[in-house]
Amino acid sequence: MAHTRRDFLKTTAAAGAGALSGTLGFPMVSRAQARTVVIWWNRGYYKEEDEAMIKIAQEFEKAKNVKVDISFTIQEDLLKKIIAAIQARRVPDCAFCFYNDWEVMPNYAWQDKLAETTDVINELKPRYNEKFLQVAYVYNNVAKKRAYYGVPIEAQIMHIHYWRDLLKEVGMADEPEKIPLKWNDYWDYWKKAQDALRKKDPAKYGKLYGIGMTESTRGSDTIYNFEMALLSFGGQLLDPDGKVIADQPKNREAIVKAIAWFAELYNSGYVPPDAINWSDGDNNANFHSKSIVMTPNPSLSIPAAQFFQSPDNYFNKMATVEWPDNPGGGKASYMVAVKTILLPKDGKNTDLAKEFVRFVLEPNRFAEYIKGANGRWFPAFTDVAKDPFFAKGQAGKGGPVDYHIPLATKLYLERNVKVFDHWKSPANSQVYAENIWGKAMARTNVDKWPADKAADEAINRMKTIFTQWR
Amino acid sequence: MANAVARGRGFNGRLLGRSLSTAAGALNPTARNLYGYLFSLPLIVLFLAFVVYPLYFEATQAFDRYTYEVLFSDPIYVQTVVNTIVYVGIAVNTKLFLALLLSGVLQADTRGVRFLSAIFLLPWAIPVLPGILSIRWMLSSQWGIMNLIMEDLGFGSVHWLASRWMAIGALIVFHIWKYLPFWTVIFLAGRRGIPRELYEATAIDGAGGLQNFRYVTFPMLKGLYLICTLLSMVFTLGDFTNVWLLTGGAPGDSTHVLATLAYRYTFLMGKIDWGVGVFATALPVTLLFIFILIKKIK
Amino acid sequence: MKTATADRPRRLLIEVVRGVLLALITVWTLFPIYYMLVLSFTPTAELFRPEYWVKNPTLESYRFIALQGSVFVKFFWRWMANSVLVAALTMLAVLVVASLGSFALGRIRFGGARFISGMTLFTYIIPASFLSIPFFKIMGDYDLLDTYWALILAMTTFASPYALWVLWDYAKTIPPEIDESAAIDGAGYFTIFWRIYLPLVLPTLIAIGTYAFFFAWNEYLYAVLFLQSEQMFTLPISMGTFLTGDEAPWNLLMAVSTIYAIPPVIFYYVFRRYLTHGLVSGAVQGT
Repeated sequence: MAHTRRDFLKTTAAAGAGALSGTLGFPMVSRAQARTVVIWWNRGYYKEEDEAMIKIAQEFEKAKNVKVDISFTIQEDLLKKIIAAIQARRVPDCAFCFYNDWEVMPNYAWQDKLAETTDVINELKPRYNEKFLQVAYVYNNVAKKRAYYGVPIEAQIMHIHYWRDLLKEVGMADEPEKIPLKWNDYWDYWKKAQDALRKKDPAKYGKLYGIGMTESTRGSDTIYNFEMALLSFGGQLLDPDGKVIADQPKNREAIVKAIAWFAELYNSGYVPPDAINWSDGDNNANFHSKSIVMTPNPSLSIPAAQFFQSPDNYFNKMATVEWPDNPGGGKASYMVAVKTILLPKDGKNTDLAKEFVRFVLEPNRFAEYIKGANGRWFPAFTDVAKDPFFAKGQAGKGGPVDYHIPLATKLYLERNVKVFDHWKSPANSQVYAENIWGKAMARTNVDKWPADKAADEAINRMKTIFTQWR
Repeated sequence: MANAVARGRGFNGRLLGRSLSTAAGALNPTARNLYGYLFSLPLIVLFLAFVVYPLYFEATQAFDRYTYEVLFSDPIYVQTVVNTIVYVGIAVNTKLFLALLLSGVLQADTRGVRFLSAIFLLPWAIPVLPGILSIRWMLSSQWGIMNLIMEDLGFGSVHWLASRWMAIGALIVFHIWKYLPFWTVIFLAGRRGIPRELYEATAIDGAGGLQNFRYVTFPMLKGLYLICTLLSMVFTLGDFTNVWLLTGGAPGDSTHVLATLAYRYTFLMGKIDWGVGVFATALPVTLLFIFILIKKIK
Repeated sequence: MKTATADRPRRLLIEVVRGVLLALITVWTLFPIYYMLVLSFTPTAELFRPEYWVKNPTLESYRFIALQGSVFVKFFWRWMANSVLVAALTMLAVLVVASLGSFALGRIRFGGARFISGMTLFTYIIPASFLSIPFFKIMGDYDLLDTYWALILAMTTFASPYALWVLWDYAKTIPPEIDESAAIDGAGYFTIFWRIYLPLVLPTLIAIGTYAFFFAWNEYLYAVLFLQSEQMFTLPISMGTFLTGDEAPWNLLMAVSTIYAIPPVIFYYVFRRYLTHGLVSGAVQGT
């Protein structure tokens, strides 16, 4: 039905507008030709990533004697494009978007709109870092079963970046190993830096803040920050079966503590006031302009940007450290997001798309692609992760020691890591999409609610979303 | 176009009447109807496809109980409804009241009018984005010029967009900045339409400025003022761009209006039925306003 | 009126108040625009230190734009061309729809005229955003997402009613004898429309065409909804993406803003006499 309408429209439009379209560069719809695989790929942050992917696509065309129609789109727009495509049933054969694992996969697997990928996963299983694989094991509410509905490829984790030269300027220890890791000492350290800097040069540092903590509903950074703090305070939101346990006394207490802690931090004057409005890029911008001493950021985008602009900053003036030890003692546990490739069920060449995915993920090829991102991502495959790049980083390309990438690798391999819980239930995707913990922070920070009231509103909201899910 | 206004209504009316009656002689009514519809066909097609069908689509959502359950259980939806009422109510009424006053000030001399069209209309002439983005940066707590001014005046910095009502206040101020010029021009034209004799009559009775306004200007402009208020309220009810680019709903999704919330539901969460529901719940009031307006204007 | 002239000090006071008021309005009106220009000439190093004016003005941002030297303006010229293309095609479509419609309403007396005029009024008043989501769905169903057609159709729908009114208003002033004599000569409606009506309304067509052009040029919401690939963006969409990036090159953004704002401003100053009158007659017609 839909197809006939479109074809009708195409023929009528083509008669009048065909010539015009050609000359003016309108994209003439030329999908659905045999043996063409349509790929929508997230635009990389660096041109090396896109170039590596284009090269892979060309190799694939030659190897299989097919056509690869690949297009790159930035993540916000690609998310919209994928959602629209699935709803209108005009899908690509394969889509890779940084939001797939959180927003797209749990929801559309539930609705039976995605192709099952268990076959691909089983082949690749020996190579996988098992912990990362979980994210694609989602529920299909039509087939009434759990199975793999995506192919996880690369991960990101929480890191803390800080300006060594700012600490140095006020005589504070700036080496990464000298940053105190005890919970209170850690946060006080950055507060102390703010006080000292402002005192030293009020004109220059009058608006400098110690801690660039995103506490907004706009930023996904907020979700990382909250879940990291919640782990630190020993709280859990869902049980292994995907049931809400946030309202159990122990967990509620941890949630209240975490929210109270964020409120205290914000109201203490050590966090920029606009941090409750920040998007994901705003803490980066604040950091680059040296308006904050440190910032938690769940990808290596900040050092990666400096690596290109100023190797001196990258190697000598800034460093990356761990999230502090839990208030109750013990090393921090880490939340990991694993970016995932999807194959929409309505795709015309799903098998060919699977071939393409296998082709991309062959160790050497994938290593080249992921290194194009300059350490921003960590591979989901143990063999690729063994590449010396992840142990040594950019060392030797402007300075002897890389203080960023090797630390991230250490966190992935040596700390307790946990993937985000979206895979457990699509209702939980909704919880993240609504950013209810950011909302709770706004309640305490802006509306001046007490932490327990804000926590209860969020917990109730979470329960409502789960009950209303259909 | 200028002539159309200058020549006055009566003349046009008569002209139109005569034109229709004579042209009527040329063809029988059925053929005329046929041609009439033929010439309006593109208009009718656009209307049916892109106005009637979308409204029908939304109206069907309005009968789904699930929509209400989902929306009314979301505290953000409730906040959004309040925001929209406050934003539309205050922004539109303040703006129109100021426009009415300003049109009086500028009416008296030609210099004022020249000034008006030379500079004052600039905010209206430039697209929305440059204005709103410029103001967004001006209001940045750390880097904005507003806080530089505040500090230089000794008030200390203010976190403009970091609280719900301050952010909505900023939206209202931007709305006034952007649209006040346009409505001032409308009222200016309205004032010029008032026959001079009426003022001269009150002047004989010794009336001053205030009395003039009360007994002549206001009664003559009342109808126009009411229509403008309704019209501007309906337009503002659908505002997306200003809110989306100035606050984006922040802080804490507490400054959304209907359109931005619908966008958030639909495109950031993939919940198209929720997004449609937001408009569906606002449809009764909106349609009521529109029908009152159409009755008044026609 | 004459009594006021006797009272000199009072007149002076009024003059002073008026002067102060005009000065205030000037500052209020121009400041955001002035600040936009200031930022566009600000070097990146000074961006995070607010000043009232630029200490070291630079053309750096404009150079980035011209050479497409930053990811934020990677396809600037393409975006500019897209904006022009969408606006120009919208203009054409609006001219066709509105001139045909205004002819039907103004020169042919037929049963549906009341309905048609009510319909256009309704379309003019209803907030466009209220129709956006179903509109988006329709475009998805017809596979028109990420094509210019989607945006052009939307812009034509929303720009036509106002264009029609202005045209209709003008058409009313054309003496009916012209039609009559043509009709006596046996000319049909199409001939009258083409040979007589269009040439007569030509000046108005130019004005409403430009109106439609900038209506589409300024559009943000529908552009963001429909155009998804980077190469397909119009300028306002590209400006929105500055807010989600990892950096905050506001000097660059303000330079893009400035370039983007120039064409409508020029248009306004060229056509302002028509515009203010046309707006009045169109926006509050019949009062």
